[in-house]
Amino acid sequence: MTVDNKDIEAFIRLFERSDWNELRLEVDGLKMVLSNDPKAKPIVQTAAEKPAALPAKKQPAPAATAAPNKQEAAALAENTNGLVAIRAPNLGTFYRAPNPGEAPYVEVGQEIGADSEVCLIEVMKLFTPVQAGVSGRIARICVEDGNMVEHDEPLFYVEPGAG
Amino acid sequence: MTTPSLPEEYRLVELDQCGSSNDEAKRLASLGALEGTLVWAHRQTAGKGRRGREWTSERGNLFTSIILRPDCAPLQAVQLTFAAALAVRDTVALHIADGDAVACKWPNDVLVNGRKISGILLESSTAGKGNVEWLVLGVGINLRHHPDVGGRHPSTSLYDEGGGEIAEAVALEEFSRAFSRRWREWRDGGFQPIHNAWLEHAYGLGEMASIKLESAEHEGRFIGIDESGALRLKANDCGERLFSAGDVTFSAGA
Repeated sequence: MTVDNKDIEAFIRLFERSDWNELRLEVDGLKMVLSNDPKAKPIVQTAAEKPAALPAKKQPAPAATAAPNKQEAAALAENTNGLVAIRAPNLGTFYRAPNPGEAPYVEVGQEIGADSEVCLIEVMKLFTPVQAGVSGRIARICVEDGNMVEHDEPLFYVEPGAG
Repeated sequence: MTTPSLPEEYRLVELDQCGSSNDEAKRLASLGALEGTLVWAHRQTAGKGRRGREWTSERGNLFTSIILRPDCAPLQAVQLTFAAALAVRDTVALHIADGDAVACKWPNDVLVNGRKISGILLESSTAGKGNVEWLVLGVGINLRHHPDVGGRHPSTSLYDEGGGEIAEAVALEEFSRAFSRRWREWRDGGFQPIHNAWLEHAYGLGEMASIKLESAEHEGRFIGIDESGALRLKANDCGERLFSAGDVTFSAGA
């Protein structure tokens, strides 16, 4: 399968008309990331620009060794020094509280343990709480309540510690 | 009170009353209860619908929650939403003369003549691992009463739809048999048989629909579901789009 400029334009139109925050596409050597984040300008990266050493593994990389694109790598280096991300286990709707009107699972500054539940993800009416997987202190909440998240998207950043 | 006769894989936990059958099943699951543990409550004092919406739970309706341990990724477990909706449809259709009047609305509703007759709520835990550790399938079927849960579809009961008076125990036996069959289909054949059967009974297939998300609303023709269960909408101007969340309505008003 090949992707030409017309296809790329179609994807950009699709993205512009959507309410998505980010679109990532990898097809046969082409890697495209479209983002609504004003700090992250859309990039179109071709196989030629892609580092040759990037392994093309299908299984999701563990959080600590996820291979971010150039932009993400820069952003992480700038903003998340020493912080560990809690990432979305699957796509779905992100909820900060177990039920509407209830207190959120966690707030910024809160101490958490590795087995603390930090949010809820819904996909097609299946609700699954997400466990932190790391102990420490919540440093940042990356997603707003009720927004869609993609697989492996950072949900929280944690300052690792004893918890 | 007669003890219902259930398929052999289910172990019955019968409660005269509890907060919600899902909460009770989740509690048992986290304590290690086996797959097939089936909680049956005659009355719920704090019945739960989606995102904590209150689910009025008078005596006379069916409230049950089954513990499953499918050992799969959450995205695969989502397919059981459709298996459960089909099992509810199978159960309801036994009592409605016009089987075509009983339809499955994406993703988990069952409607009779366009009116909502049941509630399905799936809750799972991965216990920090990738795969589902347990999954609780909660089902409510309106046999005698129909709580007004709000939302866009009025509610109904089997009694009001001409299905007669059906004892809770009878409905439980029928539903557990229906779900047992759909579960086996899923376990042995994957999503395909469930996908196909669900589409046969899909509400609004081919009609114009709109889906409301937290931040936006989108319109298109409802052309089916994909291999993950996501809703496929075809818009006139920008091709096909997939949705894995949102509230769907059909513009025909049906």
